[in-house]
Amino acid sequence: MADSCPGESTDPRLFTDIAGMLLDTTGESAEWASGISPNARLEGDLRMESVELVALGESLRDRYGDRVDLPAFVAGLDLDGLIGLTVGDLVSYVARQTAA
Amino acid sequence: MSRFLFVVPPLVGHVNPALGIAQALARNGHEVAWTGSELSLRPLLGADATVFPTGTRLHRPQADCGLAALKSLWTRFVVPFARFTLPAVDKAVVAYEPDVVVVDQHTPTGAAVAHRHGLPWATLACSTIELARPYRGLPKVEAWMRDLLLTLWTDAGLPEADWHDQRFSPHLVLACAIRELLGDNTFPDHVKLIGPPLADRPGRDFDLGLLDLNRRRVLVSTGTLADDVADGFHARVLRALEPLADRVQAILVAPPEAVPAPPPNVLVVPSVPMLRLLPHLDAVVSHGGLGTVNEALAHGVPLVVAPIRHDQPINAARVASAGAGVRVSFARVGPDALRDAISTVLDDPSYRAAAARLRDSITAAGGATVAARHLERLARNGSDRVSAAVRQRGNG
Repeated sequence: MADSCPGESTDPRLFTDIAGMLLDTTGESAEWASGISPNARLEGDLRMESVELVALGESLRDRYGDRVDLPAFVAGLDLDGLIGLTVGDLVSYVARQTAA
Repeated sequence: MSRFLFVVPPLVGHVNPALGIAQALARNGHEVAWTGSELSLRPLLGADATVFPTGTRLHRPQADCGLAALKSLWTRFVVPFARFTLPAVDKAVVAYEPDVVVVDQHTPTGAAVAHRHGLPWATLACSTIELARPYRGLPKVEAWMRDLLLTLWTDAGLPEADWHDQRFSPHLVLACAIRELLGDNTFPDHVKLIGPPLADRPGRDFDLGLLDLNRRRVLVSTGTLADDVADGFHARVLRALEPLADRVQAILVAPPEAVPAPPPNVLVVPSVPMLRLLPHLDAVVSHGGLGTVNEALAHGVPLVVAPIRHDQPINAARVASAGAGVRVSFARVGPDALRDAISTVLDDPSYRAAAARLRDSITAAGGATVAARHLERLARNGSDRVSAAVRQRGNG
């Protein structure tokens, strides 16, 4: 998506945390989780379904507080932004919302 | 006697429900005609049906899931098909002079043409996706679709000020779903939840003697549009079924050459007469297309639903929350989880009981008979209402 520049680095600890939440949300195997990378698209690569995104949004809010509002974040995205939404985009969003 | 023109896309899951309603109208003495791709419609409607052909425009096969599938459905099929068929649909309306135009939700051209000629039109919703509004939390996605529809409208030469969402007739919306499949959405009074309008369809051969009455019988079908992704799923289903051989017989709908060496408890057939087979089944494993879900539930048969795209995730979620089935991930579910899901719906009687409750709801919704009654009322009153609306606008 547009506001995640290729040069932007992904905070590795935040990435690991969020990858763990993706695993919990989908109830998948560790083998599946090994395919989670910052470039993995939530929909096209990880095959996340909308119900799983809702559950993920709740986990993110519980962990990082009300400023991490996944429904509000995705509501601001257009169709192509949503189709291309990656794990890295999610990590950057959480980093922005929890900074300072 | 009234005349009804059906505007439909070349998709089996959309033509079959329309056919059920058309048969009910014909039984009541009305005339019915069709406009669409004759190549696709003729085998489904039979030699006697009146078809005003629009020509056939090849569209790319479906792919993707989620929002990528939504984008591809609209930009590669709904919009180009609407543009391509506009002149032919207009000609069909002029030639046939219908009292009511019945417009599939994914052939928006029918709505524009009906409006152009001042005719009352009814929407036929053969999918839950527009009514359940899964993208209500994604305003830019809903706006994107509104823009596509508005552009089709104005490109058809209609004034922007007159625009009406082509997916929802202001006169009558016939939804081929029961309340239990549409969640807690509220609808205006002119939206009628008729359930599945089951049609007498030209029979395909299936020897019921092949069924093993000493085992539970499970149908596995991923519908008519999932060929691109079905193979991997079928392989997992076969591995799931193998250890159940002593107690489960499966009928897998697939091209036999795609499954060269099925286990002995699996019959592979290219297609089945669903309505004839369903009374003999204990469970259906499906991608969750509304047609298959409706037909299984109309027979009180519980489901394992592995949704791929479009309204299938909605249908899967509603079947699961009604207790009439188990939802699994089409892309990710492995053989063990699939076997668990199949065993669960077969062994836990609560699933069959919930499916029986939904069957009763479907019976009460009335299907094709009730749809025909609503359409007859629209034919009687509709033209008055439309001319009143036009007069109103003229005065305003």
